[in-house]
Amino acid sequence: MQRRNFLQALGATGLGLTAFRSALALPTSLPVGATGRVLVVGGGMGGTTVAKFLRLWGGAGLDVTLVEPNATYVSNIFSNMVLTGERTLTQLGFSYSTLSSKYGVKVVRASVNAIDPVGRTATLSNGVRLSYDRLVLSPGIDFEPLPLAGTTANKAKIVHAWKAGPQTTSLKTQIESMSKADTFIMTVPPKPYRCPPGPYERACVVADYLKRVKGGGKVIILDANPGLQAEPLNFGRAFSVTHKDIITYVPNAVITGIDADAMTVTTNSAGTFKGKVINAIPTHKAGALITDSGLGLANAPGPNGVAGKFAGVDVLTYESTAVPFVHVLGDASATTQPKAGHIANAEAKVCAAAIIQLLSGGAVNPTPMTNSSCFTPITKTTASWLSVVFRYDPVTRTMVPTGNGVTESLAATSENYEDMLKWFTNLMSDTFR
Amino acid sequence: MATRSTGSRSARYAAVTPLLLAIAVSSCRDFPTGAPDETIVVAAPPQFATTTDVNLAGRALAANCFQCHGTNGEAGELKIAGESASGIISELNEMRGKNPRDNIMNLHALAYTPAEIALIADYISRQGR
Repeated sequence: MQRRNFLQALGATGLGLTAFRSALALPTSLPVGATGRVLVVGGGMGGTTVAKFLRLWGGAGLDVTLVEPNATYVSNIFSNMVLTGERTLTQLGFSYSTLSSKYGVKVVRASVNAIDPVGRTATLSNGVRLSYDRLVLSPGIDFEPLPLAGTTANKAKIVHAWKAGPQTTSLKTQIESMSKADTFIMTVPPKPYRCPPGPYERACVVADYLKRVKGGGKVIILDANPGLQAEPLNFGRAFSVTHKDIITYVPNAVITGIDADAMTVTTNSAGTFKGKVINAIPTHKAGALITDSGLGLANAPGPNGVAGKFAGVDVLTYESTAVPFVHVLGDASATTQPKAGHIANAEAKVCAAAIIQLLSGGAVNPTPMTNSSCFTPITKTTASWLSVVFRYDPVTRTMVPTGNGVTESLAATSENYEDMLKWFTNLMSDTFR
Repeated sequence: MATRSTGSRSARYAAVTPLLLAIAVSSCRDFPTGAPDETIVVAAPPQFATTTDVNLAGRALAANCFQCHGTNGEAGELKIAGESASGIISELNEMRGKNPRDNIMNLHALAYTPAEIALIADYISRQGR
C-alpha cells in the first residue's frame, strides 16, 4: 500500500516511471519475477538484442549492463552497398540511446580485459570490475592473418571490409579508382564465415557498379570452398547470366600468397591472379574474448564445438559448455546455424528468455526455434533472399532446419528489393529501438 | 558441471507445447509471478510484458516474426500486432499451400506446426492494444 502511494505521488511529480526505474532499478516496481545482474559484452546484433529483450521480457528486476567500446554500431548488413555509393556508413550507424532510455540498459563504453569465472566478475578496460550472475559474450568475429607480403603502404591497401567501418571506406575509394580495363579480386574464406551469401552479394553489386558507372570491368571471385556457400541458384544465375561478362567464379581456390607490391593473389590450385584491387577476406575465428581469454571457451565439448576457433554452447540457453554462467551468442558461437546478424538476433531472444527463466527458477524452453533470413541485392534494383527456420533437435542437441529447409527465392526481383528495405529497417528496429 | 542450473528445465514448458490454442491460452502463462500489486501492473510502461498476459511458448515462437514485423509485431510497415488470431491462422494456412520459394512468408508458414501457428497467432493478436 505504501509503495502504491509512493508510485502515485511519483507520477504526480511528472517524473517518468521508466526513468525512475532505470535510475533506481527498484526490483519490486515491475511485475516480473526475475532478479539478478546480467553483463552483456559486445553491442552488435546479438549483444544489443539480448540486452533489450532481457529488460523487455525480464523487467526492471534484471540489472542489465552492456559493455561496448564504440558509441555507434555500424551495420555490416547493407555495407556492400556503401562500396557502390548506394548507402553511406552514416546511414548504417545505430546508437544505443534507445537501449538505455526506453529499456533501462546501462551502457558502458569500454571493453572487457579479464573474466573471473569463479568469482563471476569481469574487469573492464576502464579499471572497473563488475560482478555478474550471468555473463553474455557477443564479441563477433576476428580474423586469422593473411599470407601477405609487400611494403607497409601497399599492404595497407589489402582490406577485408568484412567489419563495416574504415576498411569499407578504403575499399570504396579503391573501387572508385577502377577503370573498365581493371580487375577486382575478392577472396572467400573457408567456411564457417560471417554471412554466407555476403561475398557473392559483394561480387554482384561491385559488378553491377562497374557495368553501370565504369562501362565494364572484371570481378574474379577466388573461393576457398568447393562451391557456392549460399543461394547456388540465384548466384549461379547472377554469375552466368546477369553479370556474365564481368564475374569469373573460381572454386577450390585456397590463397597461398598475396603480393601487395605486384598486386597478385596466388592460389593452391588455380594459379596466380593480378588485380587493380584485392579484397581479401581472411579465415574467421571468434572474437579475442573467446579465443584468448584463457577460459577454454573455444575448446568447449559437445555437439556444437569447433576446437580452438568458436565457442561451443548449449543452444537451449547459449551457455558455454565449458564455462558455467557464461553465454556466447552470434558469430562467436559454434552452432549449426549460420553466422549473420538476423540469426544472432534470433539466438539472442532464445538466450534472453532462457536467462530470465534461469534467474527466476523457471524452466527453460525445451524446443526453441530460430530463423535466419537474408535479402541480397543482385543489382541496384533487384534482390534475392535466403531463409531457413531452425528447430531444436533433442537427439543431437543442435538446431536443425525444419519445414522446407534452407530455401532461396525463385529469382532476383524488384519486389524482393522492396522487401529487403523493409526487412533491414525492421530488423534494426527490433534490435536497437 | 554440477553448478549448471539447467537440470530442471522443461517441466513447465513440456506441459504447454503440445496443446492446441483453446487450452494453451489459459495454461501456458507460466512465468514465475511475483504476485504483483495490480496497481503497479496497470502503471507498467507498455513496452514491458506483464506476467498476467504472457503466453510464454507463443512469445518464444512469435519472436521469430519480430525481425521483419517489428518487436511484438508492431512495425510501422508490415505491422501484424492486434490482428485477430483466426485471421492470422487462416493467412498462414493459405501460405502453407503455396510455393515456399515464391514468397518468404510461404517458407516461414511451412516451418511451424498447426499448434505452433495457433500459439503465435494468439500471442500476436494480443499485442499493440
